Amino acid sequence: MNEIQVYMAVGLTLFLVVLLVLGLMAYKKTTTMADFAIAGAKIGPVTLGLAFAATFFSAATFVGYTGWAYKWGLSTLWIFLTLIFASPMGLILVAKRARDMNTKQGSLSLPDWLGDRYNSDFVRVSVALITLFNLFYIAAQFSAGALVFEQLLGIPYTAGLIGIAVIVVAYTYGGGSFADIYTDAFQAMLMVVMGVLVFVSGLWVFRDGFTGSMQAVTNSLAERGPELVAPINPDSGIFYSVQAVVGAFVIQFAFAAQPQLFNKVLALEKPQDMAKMIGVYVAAAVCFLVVIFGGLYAAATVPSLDNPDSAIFEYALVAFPAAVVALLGVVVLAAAMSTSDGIFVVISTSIANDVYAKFLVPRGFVTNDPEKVDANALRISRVVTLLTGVAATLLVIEPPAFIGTFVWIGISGVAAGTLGPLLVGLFLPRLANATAAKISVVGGLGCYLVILVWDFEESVLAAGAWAVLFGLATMLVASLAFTRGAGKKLRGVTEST
Amino acid sequence: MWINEMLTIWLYGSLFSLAVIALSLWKWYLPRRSQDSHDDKSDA
Repeated sequence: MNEIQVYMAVGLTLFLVVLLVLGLMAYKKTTTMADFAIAGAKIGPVTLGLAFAATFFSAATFVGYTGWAYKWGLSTLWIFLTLIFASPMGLILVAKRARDMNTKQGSLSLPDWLGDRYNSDFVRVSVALITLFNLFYIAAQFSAGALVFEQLLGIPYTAGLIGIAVIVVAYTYGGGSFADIYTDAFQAMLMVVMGVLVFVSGLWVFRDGFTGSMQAVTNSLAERGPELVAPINPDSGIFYSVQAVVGAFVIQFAFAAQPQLFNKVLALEKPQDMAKMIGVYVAAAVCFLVVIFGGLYAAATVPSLDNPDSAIFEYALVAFPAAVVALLGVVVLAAAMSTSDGIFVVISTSIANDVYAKFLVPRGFVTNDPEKVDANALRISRVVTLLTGVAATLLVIEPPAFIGTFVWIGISGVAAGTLGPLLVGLFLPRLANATAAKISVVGGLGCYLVILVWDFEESVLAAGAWAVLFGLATMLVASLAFTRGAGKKLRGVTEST
Repeated sequence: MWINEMLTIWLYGSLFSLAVIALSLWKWYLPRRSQDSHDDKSDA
């Protein structure tokens, strides 16, 4: 083993010990379905803000975005701006009202919240099933982690893949949302340290202050071509045009309402602490995102790499001692795990609570002793966690060609089907009605599938954006069309909020 | 302009974004002192 592999093995062992301890703490606290789904709504704002940030930012931040910056240059900085403006604004718009309304609704997830809001099992169950799209998201994170194991530790891809799946399934199976949040908060702290370290490393690599470093990077990129230093790079797969940039802002705005983030909002103990939670999330996000400069630094220091996704690792070899390079490997794994564990909780809650406890049991499709429903739901959530781990592993048993595509299939499918009903349900209660919600869920998701299958949009971010806008427009039009009479039915709900 | 167009957009765009977020949180989220409950703010 070389020096980096030794440090990585030690760091990974310590990391796993911490995860095990946190997982056990979480297991002892998890006794009901509400505990599994939203940590019983007992979490404080700092822990939750860190967990929110870690859930939001996956391995794509440290590996994918730095790779984009390496390959496509300065236009990649648009992703930084979308993520520190559009996403927080999306959260600010949604979080307060959703959490306040939930003090009365008592919903455990996004599908549950929408189902309760519209008093519609169709909405609840269809959104619950849409969350299964996130299997692709989990699979992408597992694959990224397995590649890190392979590159830094020499562990074969399949063994690394199974190893990651076993670790995440183990602590999520036992501790659900508590495990998700505690481990995420720990992982966020590592991600903050690594992001900031990479950002400031330019000072000793280029030895010319921050402005001097960026001037050196700009000069190096400009030598490869003027499009690499321009705000729009026609060769970029993401920011190739003005409308693609706009599309990225739209989809990042919608991202904040993803179910694995929405359930964090519901987990906050005191709604009045929401501002503090959001402040912590934004501060952590900035610290994570400055890692993108590592990709730009790499473009100036290690040009001619064949694989842009290796840029951050190759740059780290230039800028840091072996121990810090190993830390980067652990952080990428942490980022992958901190996103995927939240989605495990979402998928298992969707089946156990949204489909079983709130639909099959009340409708009489499954007969159960009412006192045992919650305990059964908890059992089902754990079984689904296990099955989800197996399914996600099988999806990427062969490494996919483009991990990024897998990620955005998951995100976009869910966003397209849910943002319309969510926003109208929150802000236009007199218009919102179940018929419109049903049409929007089907229309938004259908639009995304059409764009995806017929490949109408080159940018994976913009593809999701257009489907989200279609779903939102469908919701507004259908709400206006069907609001007469239906408004009276919802008013009983809205008057209490 | 700071170095070049895109870096200038990034720098001022980031500052603008953080300012808007801070203002939004202050305006819409912080409880008004006269309506504060007796609860202490929790941490972690």
